[in-house]
Amino acid sequence: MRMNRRRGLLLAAGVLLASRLSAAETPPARIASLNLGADEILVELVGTDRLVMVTTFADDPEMSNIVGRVPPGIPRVTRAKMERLVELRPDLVVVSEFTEADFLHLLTTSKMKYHRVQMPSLDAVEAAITELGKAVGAEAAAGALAEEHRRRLSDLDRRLAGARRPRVLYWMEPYTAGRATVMHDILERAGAKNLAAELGITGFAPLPAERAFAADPDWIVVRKEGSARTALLAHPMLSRLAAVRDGRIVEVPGRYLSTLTHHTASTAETIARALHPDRFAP
Amino acid sequence: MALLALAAALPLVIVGAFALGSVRLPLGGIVDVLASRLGLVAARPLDPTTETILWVVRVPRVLLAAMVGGGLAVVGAVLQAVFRNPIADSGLLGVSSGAALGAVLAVKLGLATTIFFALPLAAFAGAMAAVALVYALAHSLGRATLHGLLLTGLTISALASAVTSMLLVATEEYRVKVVLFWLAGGLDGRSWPHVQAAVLLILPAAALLAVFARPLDVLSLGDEEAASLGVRVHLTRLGLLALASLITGTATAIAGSVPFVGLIAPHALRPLVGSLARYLLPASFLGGAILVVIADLAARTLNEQMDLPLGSLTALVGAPYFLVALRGSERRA
Repeated sequence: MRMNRRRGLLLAAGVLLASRLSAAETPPARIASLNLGADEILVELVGTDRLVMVTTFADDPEMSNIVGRVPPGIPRVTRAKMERLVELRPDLVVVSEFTEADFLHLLTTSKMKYHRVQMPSLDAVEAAITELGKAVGAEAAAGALAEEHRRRLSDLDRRLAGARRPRVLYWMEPYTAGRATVMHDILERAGAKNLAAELGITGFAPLPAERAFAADPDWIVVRKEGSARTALLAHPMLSRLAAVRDGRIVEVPGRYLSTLTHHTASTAETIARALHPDRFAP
Repeated sequence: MALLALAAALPLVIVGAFALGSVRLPLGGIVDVLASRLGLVAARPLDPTTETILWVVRVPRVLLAAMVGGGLAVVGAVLQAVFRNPIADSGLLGVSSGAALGAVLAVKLGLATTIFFALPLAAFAGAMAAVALVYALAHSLGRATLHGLLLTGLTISALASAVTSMLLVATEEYRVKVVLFWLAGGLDGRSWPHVQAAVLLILPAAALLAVFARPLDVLSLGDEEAASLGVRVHLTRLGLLALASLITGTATAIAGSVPFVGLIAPHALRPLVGSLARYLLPASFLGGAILVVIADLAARTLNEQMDLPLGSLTALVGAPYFLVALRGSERRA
């Protein structure tokens, strides 16, 4: 998940240049998506009829929330192949905030319009969906999707109001997510205190196991797929944490951690349900 | 004869690389676009898709592959003569490690994703800074020996690599991927401004190295012999290394790491054209250019879903070749 939201002046300038479309243009009929997050949002906004390219990750059940929803006839790319892209003649190419500027220059030189999806924080998700909706001429669908995301997060706020906030460590050995990351925002919205932020960590950074052990988290959040839980149980030091011994480990499906989209509300809900089951009683 | 054959082969390989790619283009369309762009015939309506793929994407990429490959091969031949070491290549003197550090900084600071040409510029600045540091340190106690230059280069290289690693582990994974693709070497996403940089820096520097062919041959005999034959050893070596660093820095900044070219091309061509620099340098340029154009063609056509890393392909070919060559030379010895 894109965790770091530190942005400098240059990035701010990039934001201004992000969308190369004007509102007066006709909606693009052929859209090429070059990142999984955009794949997921576009499938909701415009279906698959207007998609001419998606990422190979869209078919990966450990990463994608849209497995089986993109017809096999639509070409997949792991990393954009410029010749294939030109051949497909897209009206719009959707790229991420991590797409290199030199590649964007080549898109412009090749007379292709692009839209850059940027989500530096959880609060930016709805605006990014709305902007993408404008870019593809699906304002109403984008508005509804953004509103649904907002509603789900507001519902969490309402349910968790006044709840005691456990100290939670997000753990992708050896990394954790400190202040100024989207995971920090998610943990806060899920009714937790982000332990990494308490430890003074900013951004997505390695955390020595000794510090994690000394901090003694109430809960640990890990990715469900892979061996994160097993590794914790086998770790010579972290296995002795009370949270590990007592099974206070939240396993979040990888598809909720791979992208920052409307599905991010599911990430916060998954964590919140584990931390505060009493607030979700039927 | 071999030189002439290489000179004839390079244009053929380049034209072949224009014609082939991940998208099949009609031969007539290719001829039309090239003829039109080169002003050979009056412009007539061209298929815009063919024109864009060929002229905006493929042609600059192929030309870059040729210049990067040619440049790195010439640098390999020059360094092997200067250091009188058959396995000297462009990785010496900290150029590649400095370039990697510059690239990582550009990515970490967000410049690579927001400012056009920031990544190659930062890599070039890193390469030049590393070389300048190597020269300054090696000469800080008087005129540097070859041994001193080599060891200082290795030290600065290790230092730059260490800082790069420290920066990488503290960088979020999506940005790390940008660096990894760059480090693995490749020419996807490059365009005409990159070609202009290569034309301005690699070609003149390679031509200047060719001008130094005679002093380079004399230098390879040893410092005392060279001095007795009237060569200003220190100054000549400094000039040669500066030009080699300029080429390596530019090539690495544009294409990332493309290893083994500087080893394979001169080694393969020495038995054919001899060791005299006036033959070996142009032959190495042509051979290196052919090698990288073909490697890049493989990189962009072997996999449908992404370009394979160019540097990995040259290493996959280069490492076994080098081992075989090494075994052969050991047997002969």
